Amino acid sequence: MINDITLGQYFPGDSVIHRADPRMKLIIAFIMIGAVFAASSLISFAFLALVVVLLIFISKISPLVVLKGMKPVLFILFFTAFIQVFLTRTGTLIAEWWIFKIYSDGLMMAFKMMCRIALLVASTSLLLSYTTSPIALTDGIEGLLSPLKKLGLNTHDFAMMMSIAMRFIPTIIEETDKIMSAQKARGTDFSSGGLIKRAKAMIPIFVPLLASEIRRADELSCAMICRCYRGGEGRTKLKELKITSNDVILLLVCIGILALVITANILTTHFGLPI
Amino acid sequence: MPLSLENVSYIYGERTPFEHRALNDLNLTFKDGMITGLMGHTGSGKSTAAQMLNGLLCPTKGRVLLDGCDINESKKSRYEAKFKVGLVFQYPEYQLFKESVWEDIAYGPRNMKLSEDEVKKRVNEAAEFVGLTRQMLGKSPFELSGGQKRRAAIAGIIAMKPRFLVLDEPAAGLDPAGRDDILSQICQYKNSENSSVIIISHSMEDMAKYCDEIAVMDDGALCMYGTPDDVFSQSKRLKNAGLNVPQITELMEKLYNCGIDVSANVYTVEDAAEQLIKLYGKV
Repeated sequence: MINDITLGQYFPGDSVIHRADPRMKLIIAFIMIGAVFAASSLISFAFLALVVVLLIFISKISPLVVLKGMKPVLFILFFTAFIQVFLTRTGTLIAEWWIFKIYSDGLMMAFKMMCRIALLVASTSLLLSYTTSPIALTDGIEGLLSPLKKLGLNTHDFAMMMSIAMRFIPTIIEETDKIMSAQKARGTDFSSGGLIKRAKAMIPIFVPLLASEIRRADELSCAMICRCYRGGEGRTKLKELKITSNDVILLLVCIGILALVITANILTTHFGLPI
Repeated sequence: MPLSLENVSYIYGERTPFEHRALNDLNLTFKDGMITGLMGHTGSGKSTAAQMLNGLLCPTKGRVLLDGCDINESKKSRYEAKFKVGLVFQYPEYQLFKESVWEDIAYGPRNMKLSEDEVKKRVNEAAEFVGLTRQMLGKSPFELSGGQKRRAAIAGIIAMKPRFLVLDEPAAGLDPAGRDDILSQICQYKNSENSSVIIISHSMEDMAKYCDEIAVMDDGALCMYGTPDDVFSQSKRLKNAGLNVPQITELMEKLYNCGIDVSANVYTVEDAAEQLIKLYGKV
């Protein structure tokens, strides 16, 4: 059921990646995103795919979980591929039907685009959501944003809002599941009928869900006030984040990956090497 | 027409690190025309078992039989099982969503594609059963008190006239008067509609008072089954399953062990009072 959503879910574990400093992981994730976007030749995509396989291996996350996490982006994946295939008009003509023409370049670009999106989702979720607890993640974001404090921005409030939002994702999923079950027990049919009928079947979920989330927000704010919450002023941390040699090595490896991808680009475009 | 679970196993989140075996080869038959209590400590699999009964969850292994037919046989039979086995969830007040209480109770019957006259009749009957006044029916469900919301939600299932009514902790969080009201209304419904009721509860007192038969679950499997007398006379086994006998039984056992001439097998306050009055005369 709805519990199948794995995008943005943390799997506890004890690997090098799990232990890494969340601030460093965020930076590494950005570098990885850069590498994925910089990649242009097939060989660099193959190389990045190898990196993702290695990440799966090191983090000990089941490959099935990573594949399942792709499910929500499947639509985007195929939609962009579709656009690429039918709107590219260069290269050799391969097939033609009615107003649709398929060119070799289009196929190539569509394939690369699909690789790019899949690698993007897989690498960021492996580096961040699957291996970093939401609390660690917000700590990392707060840490990275802390220079903005000097500009008068309240980074603590921002991080607290993020961590509350993330903390309640599983709760809301559970609650939605419960309400869905309760309405199904009254005969709501979510899986048949046209678009309008299905959209209408959502009303019995959204009304109670909204009502209960508002109630929950109210209770949470009361509980926070009762425990004397007053923002980030003078607040200390139980676990101070520390950069270790492990983190530095991870960062260097990641910069190495980016450098390799860029080198591959230069070799293909400037020297015309077929890689 | 019994409702039975046959060798049912269920695993949550199979093949993920969160894998959890909730039911483990459970065999359990709910007989016709009875109020059956389903007990067990937290996490023993009662609620999972309840969701099996109307096809909300599909067993990983095993079958759920209603009228001797597997309810998970087809998509259609699974959908229709919802109307034959009505399930009231824990804290059902959070499922109300329509603009008026009347409309909310009518939601289930309308999904059954009944005629408008029939819907009207059933809604009014169900509201009467749970003690909602005509004036309350016109209100928005969000204006009702907690206990009234609970009644409205139960009425929403009763209006579907299920042959089996399954209630998960129907009295949780209500005051003592509210508890007794709701439970006795459920009994009344069973008698007048000639249907069967399954109540999941932690309250030994309620179970002793209202149930004809009691099933005790432990670790996803059936551990005891019998009349309240059978079950509550085995206090040791109950304690091993993480439960206890009713408080009044505990008291009477203690009196019995002190050598006072009372029976140790007393499960309701009324029976205990009767015995003590017999012993000491009117107070």
